[in-house]
Amino acid sequence: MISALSIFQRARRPLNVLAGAIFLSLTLVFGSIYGRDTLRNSLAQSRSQLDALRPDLTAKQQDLRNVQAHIEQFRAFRAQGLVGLPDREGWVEQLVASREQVLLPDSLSYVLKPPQAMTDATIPESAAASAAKPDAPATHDLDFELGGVHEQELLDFLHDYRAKVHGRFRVQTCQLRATPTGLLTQCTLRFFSLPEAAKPPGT
Amino acid sequence: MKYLLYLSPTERQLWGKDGQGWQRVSGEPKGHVWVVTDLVEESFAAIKTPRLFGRDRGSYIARQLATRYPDTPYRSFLTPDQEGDLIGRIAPTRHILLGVDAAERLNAELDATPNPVAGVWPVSMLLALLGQDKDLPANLFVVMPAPGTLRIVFLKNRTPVLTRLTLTPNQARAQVDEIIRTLRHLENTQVVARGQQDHPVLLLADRDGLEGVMAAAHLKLVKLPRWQAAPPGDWRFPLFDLALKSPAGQVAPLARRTEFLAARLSRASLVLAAVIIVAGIAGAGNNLWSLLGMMNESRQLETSIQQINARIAEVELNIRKYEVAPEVLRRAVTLHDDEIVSVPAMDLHLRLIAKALASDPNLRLKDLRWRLLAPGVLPCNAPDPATTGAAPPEPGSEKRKVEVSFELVIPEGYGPRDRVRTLRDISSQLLGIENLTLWQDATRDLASGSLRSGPVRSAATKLFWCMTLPGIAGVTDGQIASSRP
Repeated sequence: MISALSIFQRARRPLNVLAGAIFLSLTLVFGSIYGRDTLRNSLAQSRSQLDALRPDLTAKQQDLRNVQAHIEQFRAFRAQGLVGLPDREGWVEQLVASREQVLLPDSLSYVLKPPQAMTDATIPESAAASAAKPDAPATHDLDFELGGVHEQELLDFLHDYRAKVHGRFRVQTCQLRATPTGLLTQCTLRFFSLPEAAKPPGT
Repeated sequence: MKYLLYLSPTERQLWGKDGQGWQRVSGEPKGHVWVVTDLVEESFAAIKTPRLFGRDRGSYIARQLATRYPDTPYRSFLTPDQEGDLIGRIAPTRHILLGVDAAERLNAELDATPNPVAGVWPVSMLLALLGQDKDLPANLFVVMPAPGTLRIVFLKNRTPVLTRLTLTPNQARAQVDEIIRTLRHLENTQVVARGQQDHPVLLLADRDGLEGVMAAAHLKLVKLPRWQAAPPGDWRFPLFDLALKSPAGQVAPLARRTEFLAARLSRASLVLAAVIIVAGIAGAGNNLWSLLGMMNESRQLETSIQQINARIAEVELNIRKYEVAPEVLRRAVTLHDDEIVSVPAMDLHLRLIAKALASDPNLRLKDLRWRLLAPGVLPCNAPDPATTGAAPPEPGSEKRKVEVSFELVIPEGYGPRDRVRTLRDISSQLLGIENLTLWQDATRDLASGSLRSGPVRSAATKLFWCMTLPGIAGVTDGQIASSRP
């Protein structure tokens, strides 16, 4: 046993070299496998990142083209009051002013209802999606009643109001009833407003 | 050069082998020394062991060796080919003990050798190896004459059972007598059966003058096929070559071989280390090659990602210049186009109604209602298709509509026929309007109802029309018309 130990002691250095070679080879083999697998995962992540970025770039480019194509129209919307804070006081003030402008009898009464999230858009899916967002468009129904007028006077009144009010609306309902003193009109004008809360990236 | 020390009873010879073969060497060897003994004290002993495994068998044989050769450490054992099944080969029971009972001589010789000893092989064992050639008979006398001596090794079934070194003059008659004497001994000990058969003899010497004498003694000379064409000048050289291969049967104790075995282990370790390194590099080569390729691809991907990010940043910068969020702009345009601009003007519909009523200037509108209907809302108090069993409109086919309804007042002086004609004219005019869908028709109600007169008539008869028109400018109402009740 002592002789056998002596053999190993005399060959200690080459045996150490052998152990080092085994360790080095194992490190090389398993290290390269580990490195290959790690880099493969990293590559897969990079590819997926690249795949995700490409449609993002396409979408941004489409956004830019869209902005370039409609920016003048959008600025007009801002000026007309469609985009930004709704000028609810201005709407009712202009209603009175337009009645006076077209010389209608002083029989105007109105109710401007609280703003509502849009629910009756032409495309229901987009309406539902947009209603859930804080910067979703809102509607404001302005009900007014006017007595002793003629149909044409009503139309003139609406034309004048549309031209001067700081906001965009559509006629939602209108009822004309014949009375001894003329027509009694009950109409609802639906104003639209779009908050400009969402800012472009970086601003 | 490799060195071999040959120890005979009378002399000590140092031989060296290089490219030119074996030659005597004088002076100190320069390397490990293989030792071959050719001494009288060499002997074999066959033993049978119980069926033992591993360390038990080793201990048993070691005890047998110590019993047979108590005075020398130069002893070893051989395991001949076993007969029988697999278990017989795994745990053999037949062994040959061999020893050189000349410890003092060997210790002195090995101590006098300055170089490390590779091992000590008795020449009897080397001769036995030579005689185990497949082309030779299984029972064989191997005879090697030397000046003044004769070495005889007998193999039974290719297993060495006896070795002798005798002082025999180099004369054919004397040598044959010695072989016969050995044969008789084997017959007496019943190792060989008595009989008249010829006994094969492998003679490692010049056979001139021996064949006739041997034939007379029923000894048959056999030849080693590989040496038949060109026999060696000295038959010890093939034995020396055999010893250099370090075959089994080495008898020196481990302590004598420490340095040699350490050197061999060192060399083997270094060779193995080199092989492992090469194998490791080869094994990792494919992965490393893949790694290089993937690193290159990774760099390209990173570059692409950076380029796309730069382009995205550039596009975002351009968008920022307009001070508007694209989403807000998109919503504003959609809102404007879908909810405001696309709604048909009320003026137009009022004019269409006025035109339909213009045929009779005596008619008066009592009540007119114009309203936008959201998609899916049933117009003119129409019954729900789900309750009536009618097919519901296809999803997505519903569109915004404009509902127009009015109530008409007809002068009191109109008789029943004039009233019907007037109502038919109005309905006809309304149905002539493009894309108009008439949901309630006063003419139809009149045809299916009662004809009345007086105050009862005005209270019970209501001349009412209700219709829908497309609620989106430029869109026809065809789909709605097709699904009306």
